[in-house]
Amino acid sequence: MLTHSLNIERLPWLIDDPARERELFKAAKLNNKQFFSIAKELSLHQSSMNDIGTVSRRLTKYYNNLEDKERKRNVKIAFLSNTTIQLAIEMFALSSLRHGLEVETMCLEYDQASIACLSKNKKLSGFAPDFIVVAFDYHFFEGGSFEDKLQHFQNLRDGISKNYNAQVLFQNLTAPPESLFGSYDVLSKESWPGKIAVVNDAVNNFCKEYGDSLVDINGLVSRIGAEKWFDREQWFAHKLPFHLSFAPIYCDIICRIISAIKGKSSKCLVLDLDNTVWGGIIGDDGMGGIVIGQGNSRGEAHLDFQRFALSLRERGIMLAVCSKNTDEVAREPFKSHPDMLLKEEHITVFQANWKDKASNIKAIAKGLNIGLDSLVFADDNPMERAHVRAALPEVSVPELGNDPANYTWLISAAGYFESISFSAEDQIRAQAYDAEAKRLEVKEQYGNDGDYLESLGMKIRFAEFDELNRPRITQLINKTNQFNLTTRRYTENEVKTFEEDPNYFTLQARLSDRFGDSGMIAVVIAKKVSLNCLELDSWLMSCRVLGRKIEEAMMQYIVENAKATGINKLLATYIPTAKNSMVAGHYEGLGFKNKSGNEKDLADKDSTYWTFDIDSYESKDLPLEIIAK
Amino acid sequence: MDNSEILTKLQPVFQEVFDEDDLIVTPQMTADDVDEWDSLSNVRLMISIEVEFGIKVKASEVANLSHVGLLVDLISKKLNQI
Repeated sequence: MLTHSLNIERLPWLIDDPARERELFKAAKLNNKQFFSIAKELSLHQSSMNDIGTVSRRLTKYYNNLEDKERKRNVKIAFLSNTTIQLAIEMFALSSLRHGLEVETMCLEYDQASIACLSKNKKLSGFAPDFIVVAFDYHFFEGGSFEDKLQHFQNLRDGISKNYNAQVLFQNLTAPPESLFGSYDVLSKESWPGKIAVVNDAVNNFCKEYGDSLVDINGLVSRIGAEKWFDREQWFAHKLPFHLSFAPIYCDIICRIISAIKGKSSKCLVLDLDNTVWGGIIGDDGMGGIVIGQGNSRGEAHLDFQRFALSLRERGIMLAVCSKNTDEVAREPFKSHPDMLLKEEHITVFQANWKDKASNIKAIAKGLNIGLDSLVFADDNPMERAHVRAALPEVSVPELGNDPANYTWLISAAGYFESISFSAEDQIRAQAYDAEAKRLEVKEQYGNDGDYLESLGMKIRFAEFDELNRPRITQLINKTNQFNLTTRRYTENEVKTFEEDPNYFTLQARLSDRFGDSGMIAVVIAKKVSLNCLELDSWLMSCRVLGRKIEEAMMQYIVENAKATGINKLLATYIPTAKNSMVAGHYEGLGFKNKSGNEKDLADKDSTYWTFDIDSYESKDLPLEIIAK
Repeated sequence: MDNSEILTKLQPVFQEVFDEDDLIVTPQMTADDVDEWDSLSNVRLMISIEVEFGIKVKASEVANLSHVGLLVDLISKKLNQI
């Protein structure tokens, strides 16, 4: 049974260092050049409501004094509420720093919110928010006809879309701790639980219909307890929606959602091993001495933490290991301990050695090709936590404590991995990263690229366009920007005409190797412009597969096809854009001759024109197996 | 706790809530004397006092406090009730 006396409103995963917090708070009041970086560091600490409020207010003043240019990257959030939410959102500025955001907020008076939804409010429009948080509470539905109120609520949502152009975050509602019948409340429509259930259904529909992001305040309140959340005195006096001591966690919850919308959620959980993933120290206690499961509370807690880590992986979050052990010793439990839930195959990057953890974490970020700010580091040892925080401030390091019973709770309560959706791509993301990480590992083992590429065992499948793959072909044509020679965009219908027109040569390429299937990675469209001349209209490739000689393989296939159909000359164009400078030399690299400077070039003087004599083609040894349909 | 002790304890609370390090709290002080003392910061002040002294203050009790001296009296009364 898991027990903890951790209160979510204290944000107990943040750094627990009151002395340092006081130092930072005092320094933050000095208003000097370091103010912003001090505030950033302070945001990572557990802090009192007043401290958070004070520094947040200063931060807001600091933003107001910035140059317009610097202020542009600030995220603007407007709040619409039937409550006095000003005091709560005052704490937003500091909270947002720990999520990598610089946020400015505004809100209207509680009695202006409804009207502002139905007709454009000058102050709100003028603020031009990126996000609007709709934070209505149950008082909106007090008195009068519930049906009318519900309709009014719907009208408010419609109004927001009509009058403003911002992403909406919609808060769901909580029933007050006020019973009408007793237990029968749950089954009745007249009670608060009954009414709020109907309202929250409407909120869920807004999210589906309008693409709003849901803010689950109801979930937060059920963790805290409605009795503690609502402060009746403060509502009657000032219409405060909840006790101010919950303002920091309220702000944090909303920050996470915005961070998720902006793709800034964490992507990988880095695990220490000893006393984190299992009880005990593998180097000292050996396989027989470490504690996992086995029916005692310590072992069961560690096992639960493993289960949680595994569930994260299954929803697309990667797992990595960072342990001070020899590699062989660290891997043994993963390989053969009967009670281990986590296996080697679940760990995308496994760093077990005697180097310092910060270096290893940097290697993990590099191995996964993600930023340090996408990592969460879980370690029971406060010295290791302090070391990583100091060396790599962008890495999230929760104050894990040393009781494994709390690990799962702390990491999930902190919301590092917040996500607003779950797609098929998320599901396989872990595998795709695994595959890429393994390739990088292998690459480092080889001295030269040639041997590395050979070792991959790549297979490339060429085929002309077909109906089944038309959507994916169209998607690649429209979203590839960097490795794209002409950046011509076509609709699915246009792609269909290329498929069916005998004067067009079309090519789709799929790549797989011994680590996995990369799917469709390249597309070529070419037109027969005369009996013996083929013009390459489009040539594009996914950036994920650069440097693997795929262009050469495609050239070989194009040449072979050309020969078979009586073509002896290829024409090609490179149209430069802001994003495709990497392919300026693509045709030169394949042996084409630069024919720029002709009459017809006057239309676009920056483009380059190329020709290729089919007879001049020299076949090359390629590290890919070509499978042509 | 006597009134002067309460006043001493109020000092850092006021300083934090109104973000003024050199604020000196006197019994004669009113809202007009402090720059940021508006209705919103008044709420913040009352909540901070509740947390600091471990008391509960009703809106009606605070509504008619014209100067800090009366606030100190109120706190003293509450503390003696505990």
